[in-house]
Amino acid sequence: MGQCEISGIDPLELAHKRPEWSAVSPLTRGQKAFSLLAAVALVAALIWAPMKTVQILIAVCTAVYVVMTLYKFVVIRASASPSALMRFTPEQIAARDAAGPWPVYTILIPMYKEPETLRQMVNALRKMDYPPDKLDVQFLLEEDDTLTLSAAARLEMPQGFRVTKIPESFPRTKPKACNIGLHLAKGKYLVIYDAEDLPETDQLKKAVMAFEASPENVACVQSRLNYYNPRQNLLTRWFTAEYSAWFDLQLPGLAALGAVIPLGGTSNHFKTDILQKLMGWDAYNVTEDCDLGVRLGRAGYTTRMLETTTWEEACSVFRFWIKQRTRWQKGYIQTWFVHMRKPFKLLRELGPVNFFHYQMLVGGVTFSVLVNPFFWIMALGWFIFKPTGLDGLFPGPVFAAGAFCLFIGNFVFIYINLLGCCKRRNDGLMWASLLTPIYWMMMSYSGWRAFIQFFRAPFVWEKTQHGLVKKA
Amino acid sequence: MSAEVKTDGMNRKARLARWIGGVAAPAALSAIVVLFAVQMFGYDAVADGFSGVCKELLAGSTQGRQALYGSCWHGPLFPLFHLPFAWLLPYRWAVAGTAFCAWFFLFRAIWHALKRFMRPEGGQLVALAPQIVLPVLALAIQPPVLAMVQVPLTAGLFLLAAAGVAEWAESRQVRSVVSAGIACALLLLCGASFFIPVILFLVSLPLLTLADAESRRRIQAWILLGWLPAIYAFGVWMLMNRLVLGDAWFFLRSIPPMVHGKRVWLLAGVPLLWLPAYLTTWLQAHSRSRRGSWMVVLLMAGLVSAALAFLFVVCGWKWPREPLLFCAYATLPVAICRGPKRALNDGMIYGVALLAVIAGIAVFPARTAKMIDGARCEPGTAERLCGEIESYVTEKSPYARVFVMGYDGLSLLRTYTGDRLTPNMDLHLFSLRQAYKGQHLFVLVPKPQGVAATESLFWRYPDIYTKGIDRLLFDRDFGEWRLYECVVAPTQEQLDAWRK
Repeated sequence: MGQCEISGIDPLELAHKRPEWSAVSPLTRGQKAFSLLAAVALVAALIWAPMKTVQILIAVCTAVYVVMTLYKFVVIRASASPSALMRFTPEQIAARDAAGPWPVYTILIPMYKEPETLRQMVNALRKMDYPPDKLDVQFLLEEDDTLTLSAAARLEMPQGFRVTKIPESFPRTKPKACNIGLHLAKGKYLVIYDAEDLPETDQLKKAVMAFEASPENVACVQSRLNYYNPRQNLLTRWFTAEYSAWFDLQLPGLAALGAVIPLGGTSNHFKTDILQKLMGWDAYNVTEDCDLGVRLGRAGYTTRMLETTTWEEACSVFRFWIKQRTRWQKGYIQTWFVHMRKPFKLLRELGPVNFFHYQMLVGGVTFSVLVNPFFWIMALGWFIFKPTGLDGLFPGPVFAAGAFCLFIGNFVFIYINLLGCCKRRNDGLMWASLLTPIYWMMMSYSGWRAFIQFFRAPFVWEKTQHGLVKKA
Repeated sequence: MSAEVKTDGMNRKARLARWIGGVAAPAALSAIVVLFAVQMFGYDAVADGFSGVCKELLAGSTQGRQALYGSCWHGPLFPLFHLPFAWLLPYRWAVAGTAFCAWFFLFRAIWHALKRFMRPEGGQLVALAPQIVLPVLALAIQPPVLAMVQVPLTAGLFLLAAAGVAEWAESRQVRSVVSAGIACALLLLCGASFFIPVILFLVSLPLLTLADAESRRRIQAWILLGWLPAIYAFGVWMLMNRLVLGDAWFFLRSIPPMVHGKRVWLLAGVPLLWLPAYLTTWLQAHSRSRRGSWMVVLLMAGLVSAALAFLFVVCGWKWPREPLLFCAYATLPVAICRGPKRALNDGMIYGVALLAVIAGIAVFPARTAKMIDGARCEPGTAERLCGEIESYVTEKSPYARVFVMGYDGLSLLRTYTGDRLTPNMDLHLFSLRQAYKGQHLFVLVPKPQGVAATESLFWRYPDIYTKGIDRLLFDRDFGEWRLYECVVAPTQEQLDAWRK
């Protein structure tokens, strides 16, 4: 088993060289001032003309909801396009086999205190259909993680597998470890897997072929993610339905539209040189993948979706799920603020269409989880108590648009989850998908938790607990 | 290099064909149809039925909400479709915009069906254009069709549902069942005339799964995806009835009067008009699906025959000539969806379409005259009638107010701008007297004929048109409208004055 020592590598290169691209300072001075001014103006307006202010707020929120509903509809429709997914048949792979040697492929596996999943990961990688001598596998283990380090020492690792020790330093995040792995990468292409991942065996070959078949500006190929424990409990059912809709419908739809794609946490394949040029991941961003997807877009690169699946473990415990989701949503908030530091520059770099995609995907998701509870309360209040004052908050057209969101919008979102399950042939999960509104409430809870954490502990990485399926 | 250039050229040609066939041609055709319709019948005729509801909805009145959800014979889809136009545009533009979008939708639906089934390549799509134009022209040339925005909308939805089911039978693609499911849900919201076709389409999904083991295994998924939109739409309609009218089943209560009033042809007949199209879909589905079963087709044919026999023998129903024509038009778009390699015979299609056009032209003048004679709320007529009633009641009392009842009332008042005449959906004399204390109240009742006879006014007061009700005294007739005066107990001063 090879081990790598780190010397002269700056895992925080992005934050040091291009701090404006990093979440090292979550809010710039200008953003703080603007937020404060907006908050003061809002409070003043609420005092001065409460009814009118609330009416305007509701109208704006409703308009955003309407746009988001229509946007989802367009994205899902685009997912049926042939260009949504890059597909390769076994025959095509065999033909590529015969055409010439495969390039060296780097696989990064960041792990922390997960000794139980190490063996599973090694076995999964052993089964990969890729020339072993072309594999450069790095297990990125923290220096103080003696448990995993000793488990790795006990394992007999195949050729091309090595452990990279990550020195203890702040911030203790996955992207920081990945940046070190990126510096030591030997491959032309690079992919990240989580500790519990089970990628399909031909994924690397498909990714290489996807890069070879794509134009130069395709810097990343995202595999689809799904869960291998969907039926463990109701939470894993909802989670799987959500993932199916996201990775099997929405991301392919976005790829078909040529949109900027917020990358999934794992199984994103990169051209190593481009990633190094972009200075890797932002070590201060807790959804470094989403941020990287946007940075790729800003730099003029695009992402394609690949028809191959990596199987992961769905978080099955409510407490851990909330923590994981809090981190994701906090990361989305971080990402939104980072790239909105200079909105006009962002608009110029992404172009108006991708700017709109960015607002919908990164800003819109956060917006909806934060605002949803207020509208649920209002809708419930209206149905149950029928208060007279509430009507005044929804003047004619706003009421019509609100009704559209309530009855059509919510249905569209539930139906998308059903579609995702059906496409994945997870028919048994479809009934659970009908209860998705409860899942949305959980998302809103974690959304508010994330919002508060964004100000109080922006860099805290609430790690996802893996291996629960085995314990269950 | 040359291959690349060739591919680029083909792509460009295909894109151009897609643009012409999918956008430019439907837009141009829609514009022609709408221009023709408004020239021929005027904006009011085109907007008949739903512009009055939209006017009330935009005014935020309870009457508008009641009208939107309160009757299964007046589905909420048309007013909702027109609502954004009515909100944003002046009346004429709103009507023209709605009509244009409805026709554009139909042309696009046909285009989609053709693309799905024929899978033509590149320029072939342009060559198919006459096959789209002729049947639709045949459909459009009919005055009631041309003048009503509802028809292209429902025909487009029907076609999407039929094409979805047929395509699903062949390919078992998720998008087909989704398309069929959503089209069925929207069709359901068009009104009770479409309940039976929607049910037939939805039932056909599980029936088609019987054809192979894999589909049988996934039956819950197909049922859920296909049925859920329609069930949800129906559920929301019920919920709105519960919230707005206090009775979840209110909108369905206008079905029994239809049966009791021997207007059963509206209940069962109109949906049956779609059955030939439905059968064609089934045949289409079967002929394209190698897994299909003739048993199912026979079963469906048997059901249709039984239903027709029931109508003819038990209900003494006679198949009218116009609906027969209608069947042909409804069937045509589905018929042309049959695959080119298997069954499409250009000569046959052109022949049938041409015949339909000639037949349409032949009956055109007679049908136009009939339609205009039969209308109660025609352009000009409505404005004249409103003026007459207004001046009549104002002469009687400067504080007069007239409540114009039902959907016909909404239609009558769609361009009325005064405040003397007020629409009313559900007659509650006591509440009206309380709300308009001191005013001289009148009630204008439409003749209970056709769908109007099913409205809550007539199932709550069956004899209101002929005999009036307590405290409503007949005043005079205005065409087919009957004016009643609302009487109240005289005050002591009035009694004294009369005695003197």
